[in-house]
Order: sequence, then structure tokens, then C-alpha cells
Amino acid sequence: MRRYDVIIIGAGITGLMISYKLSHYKLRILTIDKNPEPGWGVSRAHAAIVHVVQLPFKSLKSKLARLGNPELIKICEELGVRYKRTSTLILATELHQLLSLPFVYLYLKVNLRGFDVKLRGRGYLMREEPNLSKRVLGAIEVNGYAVVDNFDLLYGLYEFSKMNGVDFSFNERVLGIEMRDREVRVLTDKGEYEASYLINAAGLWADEIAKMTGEDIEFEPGKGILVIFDKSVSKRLLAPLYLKPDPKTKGGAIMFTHDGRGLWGPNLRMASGKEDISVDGQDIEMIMGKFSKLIDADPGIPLKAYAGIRPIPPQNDFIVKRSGERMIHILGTESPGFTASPALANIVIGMLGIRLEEKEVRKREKFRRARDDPKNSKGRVICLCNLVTEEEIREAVRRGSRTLQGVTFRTGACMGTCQGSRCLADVLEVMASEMGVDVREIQLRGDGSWIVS
Amino acid sequence: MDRFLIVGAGLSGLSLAKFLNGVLIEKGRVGGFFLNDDYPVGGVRGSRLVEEFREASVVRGAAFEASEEGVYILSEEGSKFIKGFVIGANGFREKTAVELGIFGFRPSGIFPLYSAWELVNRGYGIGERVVIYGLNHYSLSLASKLRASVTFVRGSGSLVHSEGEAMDMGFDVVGAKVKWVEGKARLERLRTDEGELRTDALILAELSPWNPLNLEYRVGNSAMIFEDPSKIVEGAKILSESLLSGGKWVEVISEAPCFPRKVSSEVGKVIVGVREGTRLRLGDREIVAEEPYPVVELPVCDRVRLEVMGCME
Repeated sequence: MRRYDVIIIGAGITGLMISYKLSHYKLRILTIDKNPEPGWGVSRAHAAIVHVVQLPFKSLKSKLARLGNPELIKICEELGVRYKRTSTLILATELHQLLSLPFVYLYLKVNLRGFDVKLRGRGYLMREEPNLSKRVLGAIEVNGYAVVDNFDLLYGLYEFSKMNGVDFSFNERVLGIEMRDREVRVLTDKGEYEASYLINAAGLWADEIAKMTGEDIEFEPGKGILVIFDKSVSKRLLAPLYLKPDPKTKGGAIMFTHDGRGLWGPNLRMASGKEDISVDGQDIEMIMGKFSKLIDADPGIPLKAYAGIRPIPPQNDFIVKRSGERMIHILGTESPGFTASPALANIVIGMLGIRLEEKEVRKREKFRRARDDPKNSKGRVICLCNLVTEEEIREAVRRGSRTLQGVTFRTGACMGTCQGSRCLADVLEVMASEMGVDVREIQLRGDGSWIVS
Repeated sequence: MDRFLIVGAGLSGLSLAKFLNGVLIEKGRVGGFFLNDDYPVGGVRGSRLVEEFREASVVRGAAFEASEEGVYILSEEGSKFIKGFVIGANGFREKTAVELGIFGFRPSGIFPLYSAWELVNRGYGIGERVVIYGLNHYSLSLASKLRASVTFVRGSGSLVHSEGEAMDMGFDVVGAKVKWVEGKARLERLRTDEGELRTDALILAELSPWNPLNLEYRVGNSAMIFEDPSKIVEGAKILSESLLSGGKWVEVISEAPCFPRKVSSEVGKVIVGVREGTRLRLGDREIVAEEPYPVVELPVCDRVRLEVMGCME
């Protein structure tokens, strides 16, 4: 049986952020995840927005998002992760909304200390965002937002942690937890471990891990659908103004990715179960109907619609709690869990009460992409849409991806306008060559998801 | 005139390069889809035409940015700017699942047409029970190479190929729309508006022109979906003659697919993407298409309206 100082269950953004932070200290750490690669649970499918406004402001999730916001950007800098700073325009399209703008502005100004909040008139909006609908009467602009390359961050945290001594075990499920006076025992489908401290950061499945220790909590799985387009329509995030906000959601927006593709949504509805990541036509209609009113422009080709699931706890807020002296649960990490993750990790590490002795760390080598600076790059281009080179695909494999999905998440290959039409065959062959296997052995995401025979 | 730079060395790019003595820019193999396409249309094999036009000069690299002065390319030698008049020959793109209204959970086994074509030509199997959404020359050609049971779901993009042609080749044809995909790891079944289909592979083969560099001048499938390789060559000829003639440009306003949309008055003809028997009105003249993709003569004026009146059955 292997013994660790800390075992973390879950390699999503929260678990990885804790791994990353603890990897700076002289500790033996293990992170376990049931998925084949890091960040493939809740963290796989969200908008990757660094948020500012989250209501109600007194909630833990809102406070942690405001605290986590600047630190998340700093971590992106440290890891060489791609991100773009931006702002949000909260748009008034009705007269009563326009009349309420000064009050909303004051409310935000008072509650968002440290973030720049401005009232914007129609003239400014039409000049700065020419695609805005003529129905827009005014807006509040909130600065301090950013869009991040989600997978670059997730894999960056993983790579940094791993190269600085954290053990990772993927495709491993926790079956039982035994709390003892001096340690915690973790039983999995692959073996048994012992740890001084156990952290439950299992995201959507954290309620089930908590039940293993006698905690009684049940999540509602909330499903949010995002639609990605081939082009973006604005320089800022465009959000409609809600005068009666829903505590379960920020309501979605017209956003964009770090690569400049349009990203619309998400909506929020209850999923039929934790595995339900299906999308249907009504979702799309709803998103298109809601957001297309904000612009007078063609959003371009809808490339993909995908669903993310979030664990919504009964009180609609994050829960951080202990079980005994040696286990900490992080529950209900719904949106803005991504933004809050550094602050959440700080709280958890503080609660451990463990003696932290710093060590020398190795820096993560930035993942270099031709599309970030094509005029000063070279390489055999495999994916034309996202300008992904053969070397980038090989590098994704060298950094640990063994599935097509892992490689596409890391590199962006097969995720452009042609959706892999022109590059899939080459991507598979380059992967197989780098892995030293037959193309037929490569799967989409493991578990029998074969691609070719 | 500057030298002509043609982005894409498929059949349309190859033929245009020959007519214009232009330079091709290609990131992969020369020949595109038709390099391996031996399935004839009207007795003409695309692979033979590719062979005929293979002599053009090719610069290796991926074009990633274009302007009126030329194009940037990226390759193993680095990036460089090539001066010239840029024409796009990027071919088609497949419509995305969202565009087609196909939803559900996306397991493994869903391929855009060209990726399936490439995999099959490299010797891989893509499934045992294959459903192809979109019946056209390209999807039929793929089906002819598959060692699997194939069901076509008709789609709406076909010009040339009748259901009978697919059925004569032993394929099932279903007139339906695919709505929903199901399967946990690998695709297991499709729900259509006419019922369920068991399958382990879905090929998305509804096609649209593809213009990734947002170029004004385009040729072949990057401008209009041509299923007939000989018409691709004819289209390239019309465009090349227009570019070299120096005549006035005539604009064609048309709801039907039509190539080119702007043509020199000296050339005065366009190809219309309709099937045989289609009635067309061209200005004040009415004509009937005597073959698929008819070439029609334009009246002498700056702007012509082309309307589809119906089909002679």
C-alpha cells in the first residue's frame, strides 16, 4: 500500500489547482481521477471565462470568484497559458432597463471594488461595437474579465504538478474511504492508498464521495449548452441585463474563445442524470432566440454545440467542509468554479493545517502553437483551420495525451471550421507514429470509442 | 497582371493553374478528392483529369493569410509571403451537425465525408454498418469503396445522382432527416424523422463551398458544389478566360448555384448548378437545361437575373 501526505480525488480545475499549489512544497501527493485525462469532467465543457459579476455578492462563490480572478490570470502567466483580457457589456434593450441602469451601476460599483465599472451610452456602444443591435439603449461595462484556453490551463496545471512530483492516476475509481485516527485509507478499483489528508474535489461526483464518509448531500445536475461559431461578433462579452437575476446562473452571454471564435450560451436546465451531455434542437433555438436579439450581424457557421454539467447544491453555493480531522470536501463547484478555483484551493490548503516546506520547482515549458505567431513559425501544417503543425500533435502525445480527444483538446486540431474533414486522417497517423502503435489502436476518448478498424 | 496564385491543388486548382500558367499552393498531396476518385460521372473519371493537369508548378505550404498583394504560407521551411493575384480553390466543406440539425451525444464514429474518404483510401475501415447523410457524387464514390453495408439518407444537396443509381449499386436509400445520434463510446443508432437506423458510422456528406481565406475570386467547389469533374474543369476555363480577357464584368444575380457570379462580357457564359430538365429564365429568355450543370450564354448587359422556373418531368 502506498502512503501519501495528501490524496486529492478529482483532476478537474479544483483538484488540479490544489495539486499545482501543493506541488510547490515538500509533500507526497497523489491525484486520482476516473477519467483518462485531466479536466474531462465538469471542467471539460464550460466557457473558460474569468468572471467578475456573480450574484448574490455575499455568497461564497461570488467572493471566491472576485478573489480568484486576478490569481487565475497570474497562474496563466506563470504557466504560459493563452488568455485574452476583455470586459462585459451588460446591455439594456428595453426602456425600463435603461431607466434602471444608474441604480444597477451604483450597485455594481459598490460591490465590485477593485474592478472598473462604467456606464456606457448608445453612441459609445455603436462606435465601439458596430455589430450591436440598434435595440440596445445603453450598457454597463465591467472590466476585469478574461477568456482562457481552458485545456491549455488544465493540462498546464497537470504538467506542472507532475513535473514537480505529484503522482497522477487516471482511469481509477474510488470505491471506499476509511477514516482512521492517524490516516485515511482510500480503496479504489486499482488498489489501496493511505494518506494523512484526503481532499474530495470530485466535481459532479463529489456528493457520492462525500456519502462514503457519511455526509448527506445531493446535487441537482444542471446542464448548460454552448454553441461555438467560426467567427466572433464583438470585442467584449455581451450579456443581456436581468433585473431579476436567477441565483443558479449568470444567464449566459455572447462570448468568444481565446482564438476568436464566437461562443454563445450557456442556457441552464436540469439534466436527466450525471452522464447526460446531450444537446437538442430546443437548446439551440433557445440560445439563438435569446442572444441574436443583441446583435445585427451574422454569427457565422455554427461549428458545434456542446453541453456541460454542473453540480448544483441545494443552497446554490459552494460548500467547503470537513469530515473528521483528515478529510475536506469541496462540494457544489458550479459556475464560477473556474474563476474561483485558486481562491478555493487556498482555503482548502489553509484548512489542512499541514506544515508546508517550500521546495525548488521546475517551470512548465509553454506549449508553442504556430497559430499564435504564424509569420515567425515553421512546420508541416496538419490542421488548416487552426494552423496546427505535426510537431504540435507529437508534442501533445509527448506531454501525455493518448486519445484523439486529448490531442484535439491540447492542440485545436479537428476543432476548426471543417471539423476534422481535412486533418483527421493525418492527426491519427501522426499520433500513431509518435505513440509507436497502429492507427487502429487509437480511440476517441477510451472505453471502446474506436475510430478505425 | 501579376502572377496567379491558386490556393489548393485539387482538380479545380490544377486546371486553373494550367489555363492561367499560375502557381499552386498546397499543404498536402496534389490532386485532392479526385486523385483517388475512379467513379465516373457521365463517363468521365476525375482521376484521369487530375493526371492530365498534374504538370503545374506547386509551392508547398499552408496559406493562412491573404491580401490583394499576395498570400502568406507556412511550411517546414518557415513562413513566407508570395506576391500575386490570389484565387481560392479550397474545395468543399461538410455542413456541421448543428447546421444539419443533428443533435444528441456525440460518440466516436461520426466523420465528415473527406476524412472518411482519406481514411478509406489509406486502407482503414470506418465501420460495418455505415449511414451516409447526403447523396452526391462524392458520397457515392466513397460508398463504392466501402467494405460495409451502406444506407444513404437522402439529404438535400444532390444534383446529379438519382436514388436509382445508388440502389443499382446495392445501397439502401432512405428519404429522411437524421435528427439524433446515440451511443455511449461508439455510435450505435440514429433517430430520423422516419424511424431508427442501427449503425456504427455516420458520414456527414451535405456539402457547402469553403472559403477559409475569405477570397473574392474562387474556383471549383470553393465557389459552387460541382459533382461532375469535367464541369469543374470547364468552370476553371471560364474563370481563366474572364481573368485574361480584360472585358467588362457581368454580374449574375441568381438564387440557384451559378459559377462564376461575375464573368467577363467577352466570355459571356456561366455554369448553372441544376439538374437536367430544369427550366431557367435568363433575363427575358427562357431555357431548359439539356444536361446537369448546363453552360448558359448570357445576354449583353452589366447585370443579369437568373431564375429557376421549375423542372420538366
